[in-house]
Amino acid sequence: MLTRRKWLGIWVAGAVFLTGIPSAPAQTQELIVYSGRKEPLVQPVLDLFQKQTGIRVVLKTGDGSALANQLSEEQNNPQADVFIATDAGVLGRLGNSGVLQPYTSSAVQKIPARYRGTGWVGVTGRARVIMYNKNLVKENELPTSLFDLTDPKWKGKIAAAGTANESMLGQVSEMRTALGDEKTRDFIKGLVANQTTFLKGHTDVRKAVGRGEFPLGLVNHYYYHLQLAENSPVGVIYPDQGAGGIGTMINVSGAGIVKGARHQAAAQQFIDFLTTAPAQQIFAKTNYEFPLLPGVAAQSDVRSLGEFKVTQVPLSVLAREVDASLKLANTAGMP
Amino acid sequence: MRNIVEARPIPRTAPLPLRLAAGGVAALLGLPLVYLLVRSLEADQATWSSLFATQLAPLLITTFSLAVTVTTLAVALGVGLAFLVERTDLPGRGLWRVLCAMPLVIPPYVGAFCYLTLLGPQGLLEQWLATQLGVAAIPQVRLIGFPAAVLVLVLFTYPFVYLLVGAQLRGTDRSLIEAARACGQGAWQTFWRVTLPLMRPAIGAGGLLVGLYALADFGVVSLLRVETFTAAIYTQLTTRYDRSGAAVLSAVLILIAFMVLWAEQRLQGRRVAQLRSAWRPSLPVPLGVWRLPALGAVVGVLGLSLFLPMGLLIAWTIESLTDESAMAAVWTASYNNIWSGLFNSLGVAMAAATIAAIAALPVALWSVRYPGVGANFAYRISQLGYALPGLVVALSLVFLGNRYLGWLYGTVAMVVIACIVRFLPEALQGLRSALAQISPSLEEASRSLGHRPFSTWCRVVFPLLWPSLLAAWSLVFLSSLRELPATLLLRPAGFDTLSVRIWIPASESIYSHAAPAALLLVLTSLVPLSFLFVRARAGEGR
Repeated sequence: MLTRRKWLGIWVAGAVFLTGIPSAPAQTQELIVYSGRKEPLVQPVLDLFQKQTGIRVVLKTGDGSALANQLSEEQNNPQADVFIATDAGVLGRLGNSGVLQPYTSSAVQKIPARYRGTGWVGVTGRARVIMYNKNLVKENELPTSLFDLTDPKWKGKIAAAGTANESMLGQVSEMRTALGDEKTRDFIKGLVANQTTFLKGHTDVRKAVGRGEFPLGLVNHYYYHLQLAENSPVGVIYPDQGAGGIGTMINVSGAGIVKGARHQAAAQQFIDFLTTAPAQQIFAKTNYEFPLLPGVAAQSDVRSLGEFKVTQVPLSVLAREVDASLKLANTAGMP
Repeated sequence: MRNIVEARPIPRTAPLPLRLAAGGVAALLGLPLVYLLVRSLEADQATWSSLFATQLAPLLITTFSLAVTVTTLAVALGVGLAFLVERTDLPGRGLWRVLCAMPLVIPPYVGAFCYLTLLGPQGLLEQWLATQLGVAAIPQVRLIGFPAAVLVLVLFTYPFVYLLVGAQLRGTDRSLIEAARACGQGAWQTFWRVTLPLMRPAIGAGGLLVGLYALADFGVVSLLRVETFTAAIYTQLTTRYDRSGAAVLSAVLILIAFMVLWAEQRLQGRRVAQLRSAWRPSLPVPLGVWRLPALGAVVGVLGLSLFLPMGLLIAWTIESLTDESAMAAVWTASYNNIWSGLFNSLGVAMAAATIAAIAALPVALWSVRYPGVGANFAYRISQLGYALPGLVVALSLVFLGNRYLGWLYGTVAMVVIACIVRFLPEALQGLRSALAQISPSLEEASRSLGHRPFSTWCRVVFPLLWPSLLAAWSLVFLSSLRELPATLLLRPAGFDTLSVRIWIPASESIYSHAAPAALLLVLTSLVPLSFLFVRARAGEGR
């Protein structure tokens, strides 16, 4: 009996002791970052920033949209200084509703205007591509356009992410803006009629294609490179490059300053830092993405932004169109 | 000799302080519910009708079948193992008794990723078979979707039933069995007419924990691709900017949880209390030729629910120690490494367990000793947190925190509060059935000797309740240690717990980075589990 009580006493004392400790030691310079980008893909850049400026970066990673929802709830009680997300739609939505605060500087203006919006600036680009398994598809049979995927010969052979994925939803918005609702609906109905398997996310898609579960996968371009780095027999198609094609669709990852951020100066310094060459190079290196700062090259085996035809849609439409795109995709049968 | 008395409640109204304390606890726990209902009512007609037309029926069918199947199988497994270990001459029962409760320390989402790696599409088994047979893929051996979710949930939740039923079986007086046998009942008839009815409160409480877990589970169903309510709510929350859709689905889930709680109340029936004066332990039933098959069954279950996942975790942890990048990311990172995760997890779990165990007491006391409309209402409200997905609890706290508790929001306290809202029902269940076992006549005796209610409580009830309080504390501690979705959302920036350190690499399929934190979490969970066994030993020595 005594030992039981003694044990419980120790644990309770420990609990009181632990909860009595302030969660973060007071620091003069600090920057609180919410990131929808995965931790391994953002940490190297944060480390460099911390090293260069001496500002302590405190990171919270999570699902981009969930964090965006949280930022909206926190609007009157802001906790974060900077938000990093992997979709122009998410960023634009927060910018338009005043959760993110407009900011511009000479550094930010070096990023081309079509990759910026109210309250946010694009940092890296990603292209919507088709990856394929070389053991399962012959070179001369490859699709060259996204619309080829609705051909019945690919029935049951395609993996993709559903509307829960921001990049997929962004693609629907871009397609609707470029070609109209009718053609977009036909495209999605075609995918559904072809028994396309909609997986949880692009990591699942790339692995499934890499292992040979599916011949084709609809992904962002760096998922192809990540799978290639695992020595899988995979290839990549940048679709719709031909004359009259709409070009390959692009989305961006980017960042913005939270309105009412407690560490304004540090936040501005950080946004400027993201648009400098060293930060852009790290992003290009860790995740094969396209640097948006002109003059910074992508990784050696990755195509640069100027080397292929890009769909001419300003990314600010993504935030505006997200609801309509979701409705259209859902009614056309995409989960 | 009358050894059973009817546990009839004392016909008195509850003291005002008790009612205030219990009512206060219930009100705090009910706030997320109010938020959800407000949110779901804010939703326009279109959201309701579109959700009802397209999603509701399939979601209801999947969610109900999952909860019912998992609960049925987990109860069968838990009762079977408890009976074998407590009431038969199974070889090595002392060892099995401890090991059978062990799967409780493995979070089901960790179990799910172990099974996914082994038996999922292109898992280790399929790859091995495919290499042996010289083919690319063998979809027939894949375990994914509904059956996989049932398997994983049963394997890692049956200990809830096992522990409660085991304690009940150990506590039952031998004379009850002897009386049945003396009246000419056979072994099976004794089991059906005496042992099973005595187990009913424990089965009800354990089955309720399992059923509610299956309803609220998010990690397992999303890893194994089963479209249940929680998965659909998560999709609504993370990809849609109109949260009323999620609130509507959650409101339906709350109604289901109410129904489960109501069914449990029907199931429990009359309460039976025992006087401990002439208590003797039960004699084991000889298994005869069934000794070895029974042993094989116990070892088989433990192989699937304990040895296999533990083996995988240990193997992956060793892999992380030999791999340089894993070493740097997991063990020696200057920021957010595994040790700060451990420290944070322990702090949150201890605070949540301590507060929850204390806060559950007035609610349990009110509902058992002074049943009535108010007490029953407070009890049912307090139970709901466990049926709410962690993500929904977290979002409601984000909302409430930002509106009314700005100073508290963004601190660790929010994580602790989320754990209390979600897991206090676990403490409440145990305390309530323990209180029901303590004969009110003991309190009546104390009262008749002139002690006031509070003094009676301190001198009579509390000492008898102490082991159950410790067990309740341990259960909340275990659950809080592994809590994932609410912690992910509510943690202040820079505050990562072990579960977060598991989730981040596991969601990117880097198992060698996730395994060390998972293993550490499992080892830490052994401490509170040992309390549960201290309680069990105390029960025997009585």
